[in-house]
Amino acid sequence: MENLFFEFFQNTGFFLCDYRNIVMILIGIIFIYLGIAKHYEPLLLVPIGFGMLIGNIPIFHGLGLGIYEDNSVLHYLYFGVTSGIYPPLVFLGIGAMTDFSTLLARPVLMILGAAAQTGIFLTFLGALALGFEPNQASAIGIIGGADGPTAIFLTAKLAPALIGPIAVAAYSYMALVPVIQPPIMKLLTSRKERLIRMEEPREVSKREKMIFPIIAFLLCCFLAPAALPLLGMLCFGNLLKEAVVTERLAHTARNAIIDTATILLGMTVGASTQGDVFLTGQSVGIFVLGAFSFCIATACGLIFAKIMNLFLKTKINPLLGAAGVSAVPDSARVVQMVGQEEDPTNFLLMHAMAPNVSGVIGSAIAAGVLWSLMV
Amino acid sequence: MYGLEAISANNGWSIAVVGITIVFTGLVMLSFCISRLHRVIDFLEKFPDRKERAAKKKADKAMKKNGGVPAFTGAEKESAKQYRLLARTMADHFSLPRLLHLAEISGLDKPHSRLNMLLEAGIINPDTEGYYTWDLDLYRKIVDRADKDK
Amino acid sequence: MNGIENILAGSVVFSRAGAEGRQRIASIAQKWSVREGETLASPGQKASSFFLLGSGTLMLSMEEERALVLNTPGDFIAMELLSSKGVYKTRVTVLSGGHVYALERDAFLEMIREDSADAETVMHAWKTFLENTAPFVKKQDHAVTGFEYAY
Repeated sequence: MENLFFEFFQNTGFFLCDYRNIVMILIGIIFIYLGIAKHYEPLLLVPIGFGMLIGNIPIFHGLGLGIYEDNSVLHYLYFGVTSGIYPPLVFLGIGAMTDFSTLLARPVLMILGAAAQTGIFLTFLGALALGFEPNQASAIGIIGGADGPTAIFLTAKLAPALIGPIAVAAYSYMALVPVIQPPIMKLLTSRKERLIRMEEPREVSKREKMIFPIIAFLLCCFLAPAALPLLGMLCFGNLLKEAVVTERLAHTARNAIIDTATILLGMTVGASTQGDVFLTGQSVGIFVLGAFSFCIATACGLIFAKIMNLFLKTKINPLLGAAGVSAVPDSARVVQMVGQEEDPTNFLLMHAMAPNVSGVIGSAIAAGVLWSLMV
Repeated sequence: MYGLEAISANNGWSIAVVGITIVFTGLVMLSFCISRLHRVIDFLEKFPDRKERAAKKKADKAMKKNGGVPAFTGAEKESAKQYRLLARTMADHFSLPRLLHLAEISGLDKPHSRLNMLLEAGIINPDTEGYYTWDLDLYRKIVDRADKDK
Repeated sequence: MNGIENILAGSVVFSRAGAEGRQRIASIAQKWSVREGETLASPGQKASSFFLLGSGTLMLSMEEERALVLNTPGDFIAMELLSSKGVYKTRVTVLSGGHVYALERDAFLEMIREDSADAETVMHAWKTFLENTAPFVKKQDHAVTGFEYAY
């Protein structure tokens, strides 16, 4: 009987526990705390945080429990991540939520969404310089797109082993947008620039909004076909929203589907961060490069907005450039916040949504380009 | 391999330049297209305008002949039709606030009073669960018959 | 008799209350002109008034996207139909313009909590009115699971 007890004890988490599991469990608890108590992207951080707890229960290998064991339930759920199923479903929901009116009213702001993607490619170079393989460097660079589903999608295709650290880095930085971006924004703009008021956007007709997703899809996917899974779903979701007659489907896409995909995506990505797999020097490098990528993307957007002002008759507030990094709608909110610190009557949120949603399209194209260049 | 040597060996410079160029090209092209979009739509919308005006005149005349059921004006009938289209996208027992919301975001004229008109005419009726149903027969009597008279 | 007294006399909820009771209700009412599309109450707002319909049409949008349309003068929009724990849970939208009487919520609740024949009559009539016009309201309370959240 003693032997039985001892054998059972040997299979418990208390016996199998490793300091790395404890570290990851603590990180998971911090994520849950930040989500619940500090309201930092709770819909993302809580599933990821709890997923970290799930993934870091020390288990006896061979029982088919761990996410990396072929026959486990978690492995099947994780299949949606590794095969790139969940991110397009999230994009479908995002499309069904997004209102492209401000972008349609001032199309020139779309270029800011492109400028911010420069950070992706600069980080790609940085990662190569640090000795990462080109596939890994691409996956690391995409963190600068500040778009969780895109980062996971590209990593699943190019460097599946890095999904855990890249997803956690991407979502962490997205949650920290209000902390990371403001200092860069203040550093790169003068008070006079931050005070610039934007012109009222024109009224956008329903028909324009309906046609936009079709044009955007055809144009971008003809140019970068690898962006098809993400952009296709984004534009399809948006068409469902704008077509009105498909409101019932749009409602499902922006509620049930995106919620289900987010829960499964967050939880399994969290569970993939098993201490022994996650706590490596490489992960530290990814976190450092991810932060660099995010900062560079923000800076590129801001600088490009300033360059545009040299040529534009009606100046734009360069803070809008920072919203080009996707992270919808947080980076747009940060633009509003920083702008109102200088002038509480200046409302930039609506205008910042234009580069913000353009950033989503830009990062999806960037992911498509990197994918096709690496394969 | 590290540093600039690693970037060159992996063709990093070319990939970065090509990548940035494609992203910019895509978004600049899209930006250009959508900046022209509203002009194209405005141009195309001029044609049906005339047709619609003529159709409205005809509908108004036909309405006068329509007896026994509530008489809708041409604009009211158009609203009823649009409401019908929206209601068709919903379940048989649909939500009234949802229908009103759809009407608002679709840009229907006077969505509140037109919805009230349909309620008063008995085209939209409440069930016992807080949802509403569409009386298709009455709707046809009021709206479709007048159209046939044209 | 002035406007509100006429309305109260014809109201299913208040018609059986005594003249004195109706006068007390009239004393806490304020006449509002309402226009098409206007919102009189929104979910989440502090519930400060109940509404007595004078003329026009109101739509009450409730949980689970249910709705109730009221257009009979004297219809009363109050208590579980409108609010819960001092907060509006129903959106009241004007479908066609007219006027309503806004009754001070706290004063009205105080009145009906009194141990009086008028209070009892009004509450009894209210239950009947609710059962006839919005039988689904009670069921709805049981349907709230507490698992709702916003993305």
